Amino acid sequence: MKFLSRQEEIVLLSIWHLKGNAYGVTIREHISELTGKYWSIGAIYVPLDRLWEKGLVETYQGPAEKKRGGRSKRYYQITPEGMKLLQEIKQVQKVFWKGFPKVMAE
Amino acid sequence: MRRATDGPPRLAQRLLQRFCGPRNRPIIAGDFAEIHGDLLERRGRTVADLWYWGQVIKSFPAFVRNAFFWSLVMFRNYLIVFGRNFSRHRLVSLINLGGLALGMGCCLLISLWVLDELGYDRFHASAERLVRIESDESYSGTVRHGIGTPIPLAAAMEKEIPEVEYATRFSRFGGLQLAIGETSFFEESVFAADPSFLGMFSFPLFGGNPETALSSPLSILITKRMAEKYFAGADPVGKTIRAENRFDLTVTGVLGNPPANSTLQFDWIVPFVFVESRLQRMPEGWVNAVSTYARLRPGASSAIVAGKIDALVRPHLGPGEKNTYSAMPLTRLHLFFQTGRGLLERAVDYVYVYSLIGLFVLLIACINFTNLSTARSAERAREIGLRKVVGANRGNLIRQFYGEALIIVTAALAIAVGMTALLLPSFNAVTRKQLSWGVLAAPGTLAAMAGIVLLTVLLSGSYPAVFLSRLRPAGILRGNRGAGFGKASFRKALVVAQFAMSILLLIGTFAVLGQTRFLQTADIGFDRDRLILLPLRGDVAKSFEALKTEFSRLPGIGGVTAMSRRPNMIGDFADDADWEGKDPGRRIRVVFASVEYDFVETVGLKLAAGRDFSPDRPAERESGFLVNEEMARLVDRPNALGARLSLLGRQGTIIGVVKNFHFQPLDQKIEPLVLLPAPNANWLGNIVVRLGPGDQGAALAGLKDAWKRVLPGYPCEYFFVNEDFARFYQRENQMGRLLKFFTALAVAIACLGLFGLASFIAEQRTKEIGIRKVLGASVTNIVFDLSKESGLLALAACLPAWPAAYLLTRAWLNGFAYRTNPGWPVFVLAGLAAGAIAFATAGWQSLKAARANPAETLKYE
Repeated sequence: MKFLSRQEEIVLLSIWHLKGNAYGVTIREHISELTGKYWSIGAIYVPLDRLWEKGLVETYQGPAEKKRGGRSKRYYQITPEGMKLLQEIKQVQKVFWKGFPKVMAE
Repeated sequence: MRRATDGPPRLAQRLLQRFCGPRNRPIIAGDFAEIHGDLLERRGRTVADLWYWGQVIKSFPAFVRNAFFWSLVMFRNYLIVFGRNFSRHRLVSLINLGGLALGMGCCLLISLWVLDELGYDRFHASAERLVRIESDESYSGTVRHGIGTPIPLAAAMEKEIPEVEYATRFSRFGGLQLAIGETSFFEESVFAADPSFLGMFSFPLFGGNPETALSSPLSILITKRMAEKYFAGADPVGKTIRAENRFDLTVTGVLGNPPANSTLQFDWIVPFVFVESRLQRMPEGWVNAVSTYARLRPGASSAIVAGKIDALVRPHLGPGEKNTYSAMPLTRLHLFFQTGRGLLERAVDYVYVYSLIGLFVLLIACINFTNLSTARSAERAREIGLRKVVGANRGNLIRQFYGEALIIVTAALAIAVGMTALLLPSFNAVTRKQLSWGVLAAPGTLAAMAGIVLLTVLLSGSYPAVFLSRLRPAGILRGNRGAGFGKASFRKALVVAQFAMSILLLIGTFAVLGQTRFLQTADIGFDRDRLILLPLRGDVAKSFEALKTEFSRLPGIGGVTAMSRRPNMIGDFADDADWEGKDPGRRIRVVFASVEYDFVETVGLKLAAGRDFSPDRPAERESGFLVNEEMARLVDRPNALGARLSLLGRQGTIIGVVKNFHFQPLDQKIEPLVLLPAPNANWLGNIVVRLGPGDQGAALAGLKDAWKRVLPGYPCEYFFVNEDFARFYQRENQMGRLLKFFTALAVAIACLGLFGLASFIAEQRTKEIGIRKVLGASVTNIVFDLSKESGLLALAACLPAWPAAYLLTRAWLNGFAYRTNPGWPVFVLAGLAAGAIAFATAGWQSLKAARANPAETLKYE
């Protein structure tokens, strides 16, 4: 089983969440909302490129849009391997997190 | 900031694009644009733009880190490797450097020359609108092109042709005798011009009003150098100069010296009205007699102006006369329509020839570089292999090798600039240019240098870069040396090319030198040794008879006569001739010259029939003509003697026929010529004196004394006809000398390359030579074996070189009506010389290798 960095994991999960509408801007917004922290664009693209290299996501090009200065979007989609890996990670994590208290016992 | 849409700031966009990696470029830019748009909607333009710029600034450090840091690291590595290679093969590297420096130095010198030639007359403020009016006179069958135009043309053009802003006559009229205070002197470089002259050209005027400086007939403008010469620091403006002992001219201004690259060269300018009204009787009507220059209005077409001039002149032409005019741009005059020697020369041909020579020399040097680099490829193959293995792609390697070429070429340029600076004074002396060291920093020169560097890097570095970067690491690293050893056949082809160019230059040099020698030594139909000319200026001509009497009495004088111009350059004064039996429909102009008694004998012409003019037959002074054989042929009678002829309004008969002689430079055919006795002293320009055998110095001293006795107050000047010849063929002489220099250099550079290559090959084959020697080969065997190839390559170079040389020399020689063609021995000799030089160069190097003790060479591992 491959391991993912925490960032990669978060990005991959966001892509799954966003379903068909996952591209740079939406992924960043999604993550920023959920974590409550500022994520720079670079912080999104580095893990995205890495995921792509590992074959966990695939991309397709959208049409050019006026809103984007005539440039197109690159949409991301999880590949079956990506889905499989996410499931495995969830499995493993469940085992690791089992019994962890929700509230710290003082 | 201007922007087309509501998008982010343009500059910021462009920067951001630059900073992003190429894969993500459009996508990321799109994301940024979208976020920017979002912010724009929610928080306004300022926030959005600020945010965008913030992104740009944030991405900058990473970009710098990626782009520069790593390339700096690699660059340092390239430099180290370059330095190691340079010092490991010091000889070959120095040959490369030296060859390139020599080649580029040549190129630089030639560029300076070419730039100077191309820059003629461009210093005028509106140079592109200045034109010279030129004329074409049609006669039966021939058109004579010249720069003569009608005297009233300039004024008429200014008045009648709206496209003409200014027009001026500008003509030299034979010089003036001038006097400032007590000093009297004669100046030739005196021109007559109209007031418009100062308005249309950009010759600076000091201490005078350009509007009025030429308005009053009794005014004169002088150049700075003349002001310094005759007024020694004092301000000449307002001073009086006496001309021809009759007219008091006031200096109305001092003109800046005409720059060396100006077609118009003058030292004194007087108003044309002065010459016209007081000094000389001008031909009447609309005869083509003076030069006319004009400045057109912006946008005016010179063709239309020329058409309008034709229309202006047409009503004034006599029946049967057909003259047309053209307006030649001033900036093209020097290159295309020079009026030297009384004919039109194309300097641009010499620009092409010299550029070609420069390119050849540079190419030869570049080939050295290419050959030596690829020959060494075996040495570098491992480095290349390793670089590829650790991840260098072809682009990196190509850049590396171009970079190495650039370093060497830049170093060579520094040497070349130094060399050029050192050679500049001698180069000026040969080419008669006045290039100063300042031109080395002129923008044109810097551009030329950049061009030369770029060209050299491309020419010399391309093959090594492409070839070396293509090597396959697997083969090299396995130790398969053969795979990386460069294509020997390609190197051979390049050596052949080098020698072909050298042979071409050699043959060209032989041809040019042969023709120059021919021009100066050819039989021109009269004896030019010990023949001197004394210019008769102004009033001096009136004393010719007295001078002749005095001169004839002196010992060591073989003969004395006088004539309008010079026997070797009679000029192109011509008039319509008519004779018995001439087809009345044909209009034929014939060149004429006026002469004095004893002309035939003094100059040394040979009479084909009849006799010379003689004081014993005074009637012939009014009605006799001497003609040359060409003219006799034109008259076309079994015996031209006694034929009636009329010329210049004189009716007379032909009393003698002289054998043809060259009264024009040898690039022109001998034309029909008529000699007639000078109607008065104004027709005489030079005394011609033949010195006898005996002491030349004493004879000259005698002449000077006699002159002083007759004309105390007038300086005695003289020159030898032979010197005049050298001046005539300056351009050819110059080309001969430059070609000699550049050819020697080209051959030397080619040999340098061959030397490097031979030493390299000898080094490669050290072991082989050792084994051969052990097996019994003699030193001679080995030397011959190693160097015969070089000799053969040089001989093979003859194949392309011969036809090219034949065509090029023929094209150049075709410009001369009389010429020597280089015979086949010249071609063979050039080829053999190249072969021998190549053989010797390679042989010398292989001798060293062949002499080595095999015991030493074979144990080196």
